[in-house]
Amino acid sequence: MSIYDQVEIEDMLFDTDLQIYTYPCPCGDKFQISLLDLLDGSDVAVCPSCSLMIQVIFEPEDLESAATESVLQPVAVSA
Amino acid sequence: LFSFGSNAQCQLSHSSAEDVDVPTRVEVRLPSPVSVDDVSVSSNGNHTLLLISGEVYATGDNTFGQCLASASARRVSMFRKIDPCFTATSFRASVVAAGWDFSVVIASSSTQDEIYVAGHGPRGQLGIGETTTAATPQLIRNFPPRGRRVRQACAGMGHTLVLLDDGNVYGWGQSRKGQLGPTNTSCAACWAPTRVFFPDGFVPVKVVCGREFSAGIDGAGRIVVLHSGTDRHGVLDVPSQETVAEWTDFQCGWTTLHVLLSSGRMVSWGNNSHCQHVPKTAPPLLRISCGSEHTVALARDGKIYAWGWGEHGNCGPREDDQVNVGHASPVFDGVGAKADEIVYLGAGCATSWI
Repeated sequence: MSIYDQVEIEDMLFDTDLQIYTYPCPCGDKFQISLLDLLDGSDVAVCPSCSLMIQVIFEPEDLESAATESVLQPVAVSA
Repeated sequence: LFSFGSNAQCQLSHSSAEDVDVPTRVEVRLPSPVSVDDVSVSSNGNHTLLLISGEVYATGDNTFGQCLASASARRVSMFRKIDPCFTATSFRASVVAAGWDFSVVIASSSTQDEIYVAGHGPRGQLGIGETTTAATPQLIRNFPPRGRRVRQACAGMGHTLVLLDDGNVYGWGQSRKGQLGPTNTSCAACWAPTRVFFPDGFVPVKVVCGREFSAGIDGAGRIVVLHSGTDRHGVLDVPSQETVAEWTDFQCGWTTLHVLLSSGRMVSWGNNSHCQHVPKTAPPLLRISCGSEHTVALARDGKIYAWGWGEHGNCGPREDDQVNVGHASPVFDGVGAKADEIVYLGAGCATSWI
């Protein structure tokens, strides 16, 4: 299957627990690729629920911060 | 109400959690809308919001509270009326807009509008400051500006737009690709309502949210697309004002835009990798609804057609291994309903609604 689109890594979310980058897929699931795969030189994120794939656009420097990315801590707000 | 397509999280309001490729009646008994203007469906990500006569229902993934249901329910398996959350009983819901895993509900009284948000906002999608989750609905404070009313609002994958009665547009959420206008592209995210600037003199009457763009159309058919980037899909190739002057609707998917004309013809531009553009064989159309990468349409012949990326059955039963539907595929024999009984079409992330 051909690449559905290219996505810049800045627009993806990094799951620190699973060590994967994710991005919404038009089917409702999420494209995903692991940090290890990116470090290995892979750049195609696949969707577990459909045939679509995206190419991740990144520089090696972008990956260095993954482990220490200062993602804003989720703040649960309830009434 | 009938739905088909992606359903892994019961976003179709079918408790089976299995995809469906033919329009299937939802299991919930719903009140009849008083008029065509009384109902709307907003489906995105893995959840769906339904607005009927001022009441809001939600179904699907509730991991982040995007279904405005009790935090203990990770999934709502069929449409459930949301718990009351407006500040006063004089408010009734007037707009529902579903983002990827966030929701926007606008409540209106005779004199003002209030905007509530719930769900997941890692890039400002909640618009309530630097807060990334809202498990229960939160009111956006100090917006709209005093005295201003909401004319129209919509949400895309990662941002929300609000068009006010003075013609100004505000938005929040993802902004790197120009979704919130050229003044916000250097922000990784906009965490509160910010002015979305269109060119001087351009006053939109409707705005739409793409994935990496926003767009507006004015009464004369002039279209402005806000996008900063490489424009891989050609979303900036807008049709001339003369071509779409007689427009009746303006919608977009994640990477494609469409204008429906009073003649029943449709003009599409942007991504066509999966047959998202209106097929050349499409009959004159009355109404359209655009999902992420497909379209559902009601034609003047009373039939409903779908085309585009249909891998999950959202354009009808798959033909062989084809995931794209490049022709106007009739998807609904109406189960006895006639064209004038079809009051609404909706479409989300590979979901379709009648």
